[in-house]
Amino acid sequence: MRPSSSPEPASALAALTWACSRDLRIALRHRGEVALVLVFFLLVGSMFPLAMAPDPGLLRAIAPGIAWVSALLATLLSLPRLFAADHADGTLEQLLLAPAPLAALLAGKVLAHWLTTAAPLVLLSGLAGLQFDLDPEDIAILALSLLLGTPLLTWLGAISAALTLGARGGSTLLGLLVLPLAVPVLIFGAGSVEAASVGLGAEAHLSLLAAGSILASMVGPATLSLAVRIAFE
Amino acid sequence: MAAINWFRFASPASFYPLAGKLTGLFGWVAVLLAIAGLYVGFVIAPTDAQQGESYRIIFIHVPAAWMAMFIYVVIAFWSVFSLALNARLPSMMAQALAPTGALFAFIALWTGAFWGRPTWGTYWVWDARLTSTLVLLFLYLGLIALRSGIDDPRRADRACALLALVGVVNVPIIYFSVRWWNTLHQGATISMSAAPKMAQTMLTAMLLMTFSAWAYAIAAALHRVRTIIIEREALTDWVGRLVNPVQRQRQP
Amino acid sequence: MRNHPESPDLESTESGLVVDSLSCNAGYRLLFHALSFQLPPGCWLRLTGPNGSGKSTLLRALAGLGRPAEGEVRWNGIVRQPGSADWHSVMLYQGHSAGWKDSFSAHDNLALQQALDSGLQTDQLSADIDALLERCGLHSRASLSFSRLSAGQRHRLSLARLAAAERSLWLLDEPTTALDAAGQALFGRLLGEHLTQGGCAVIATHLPIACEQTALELDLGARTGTAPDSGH
Repeated sequence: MRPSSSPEPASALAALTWACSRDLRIALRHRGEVALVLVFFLLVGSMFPLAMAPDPGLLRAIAPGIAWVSALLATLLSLPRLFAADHADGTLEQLLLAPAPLAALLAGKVLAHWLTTAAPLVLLSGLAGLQFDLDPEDIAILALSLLLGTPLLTWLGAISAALTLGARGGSTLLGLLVLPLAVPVLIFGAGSVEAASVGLGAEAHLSLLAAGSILASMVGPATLSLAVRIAFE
Repeated sequence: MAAINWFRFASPASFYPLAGKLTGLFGWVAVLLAIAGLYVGFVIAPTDAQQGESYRIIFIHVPAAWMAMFIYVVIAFWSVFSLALNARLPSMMAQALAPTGALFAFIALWTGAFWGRPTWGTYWVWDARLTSTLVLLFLYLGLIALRSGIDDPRRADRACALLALVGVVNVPIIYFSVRWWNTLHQGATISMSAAPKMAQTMLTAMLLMTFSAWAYAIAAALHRVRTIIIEREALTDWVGRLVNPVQRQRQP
Repeated sequence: MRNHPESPDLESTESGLVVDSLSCNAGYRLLFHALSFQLPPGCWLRLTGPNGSGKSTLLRALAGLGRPAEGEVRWNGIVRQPGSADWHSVMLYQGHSAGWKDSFSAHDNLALQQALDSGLQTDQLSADIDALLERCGLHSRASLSFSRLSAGQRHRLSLARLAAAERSLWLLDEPTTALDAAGQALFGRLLGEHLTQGGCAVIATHLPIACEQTALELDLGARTGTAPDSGH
């Protein structure tokens, strides 16, 4: 009947790699946008000592909390970048219609987003730690907690960003959706550094964060594709 | 059990009159149970040795907190049907329940403050249950905000359904993480769960108020869902007949 | 590369696109009700109608982006599963937003999209990309940033994608708007080639399309009749 034959759908790994490398290339061309998020992280962290007496003991005590809240807000700020541009120029629509597993394509996008947003935050947390005069061991725990907790955070944020695509209320609505869901990550992330600093050991916190991130990475892609499909109905 | 075809009520058109009848029924049940519960709680139950009379606020606070949590689970239940069956009525029920759930969460927080003030001198304590209820209130507000932010009603249904499911999975995690956080900082906190030892009458009052709150929630949700049904089915014939009965009378 | 699988059970007498009693809503409005048509291979359907009559919604519903309220879409006798990768290898949809990134050049955009369109299988594409760009008149602007191209030139890239992708069914929403006369002629040629090879196309347009094969016509504005009790 038809002489032309249709292509075989892409494998999940190929789709993930394609989407991830594409988004990384785009982020490379918009380095300013990426850097902005990191600057925001440091900026928010600096607001707190300015808003209270810069007593070193106090600052050291509240440092993990401030660092985590700043990371949370910075992640929130960067989330619209994940889908909004692709939604506006029609690229996201074409991803939905591609002969490739949507979950893998979206996982590639989320991975690229984590690499360009959260991973630099992990590195910057050292600077934040110095601002608050944290011990090197505590800084290491802080960085590790961010490393283990940000994937979970990114998945929660990605799902919320997909649900709010095309909804009124913009990033404030996104914040209302993400922040309550992020409470456990915040508690265990900041709590890990606190536990380490009083000598209780952060293993429990860190393992919970890691477990959460692994679980999110397994369940996230399917949930995210459902959320994106809903956004296009 | 009579062989009722429950699926007959799955269409908004046939559910509408049923909801109307049930609203009145549950409303009266709620009022009667509330009168009984308040009587037992405020008149019959004894004064607490440590907290005096102010403890009586728990007869409103605890049922409200329980209902806030329970309603969210019910919303998640309806959301499963909404997504799996792509049906309208479960989403309408979820939409109707959210404001009631938010109200109960708010009442729990408000009455918690009124309990805290005379008992411990502060309006707010960061204990596990109050904090989780606060987070629960934000989750409800998120559902309501997402619903009003999306114009297309079917898309809003499915987006809120997914959000509710993501939320319901997180609610126990949030609760346990907040409890962990709370126990770690034990020294600084006062716990709401340090309620007075329950005399039998206190328990009775608590249960009566809880069932009253449950009946009220059902009545409020059914009443609200009728409005939602009318709003969303506005262009159909049966709503037209409902709104313009004069035309119906004119027909031979 | 494989042929589209046939149903093992029944003798599929249908070939091409069959739309059976499709109804679509947009928000609170019913756009069309119980729409049915058949599009054999080698034919194309011109969708017309005033603004808001549901042309875009119909195309999107066929593509699998929106959920029809009721009805069925069949391809070669098999019920199409919206969202399945198999369906995506059969059809190509181009809506109002062309789906190109401003950050990339025309060449990179086409290379990326072509890789995805062909299922991320082969690497023999780069030479083809240049030839395609040449054919669509974009060769001189291939390496410029996409934001520097005019609307008409961006649309030509969509033509290049159409020429490259091996798809049996085209679902196009106003493909020739913003194209100049040469671009419209090019589109007509591409469409003719596609149909000659046995493909189908559903095209929503209010402009004439210079194609040899005549189109089946469907005017959504002329369809009347309201739906019975249907809600949202």
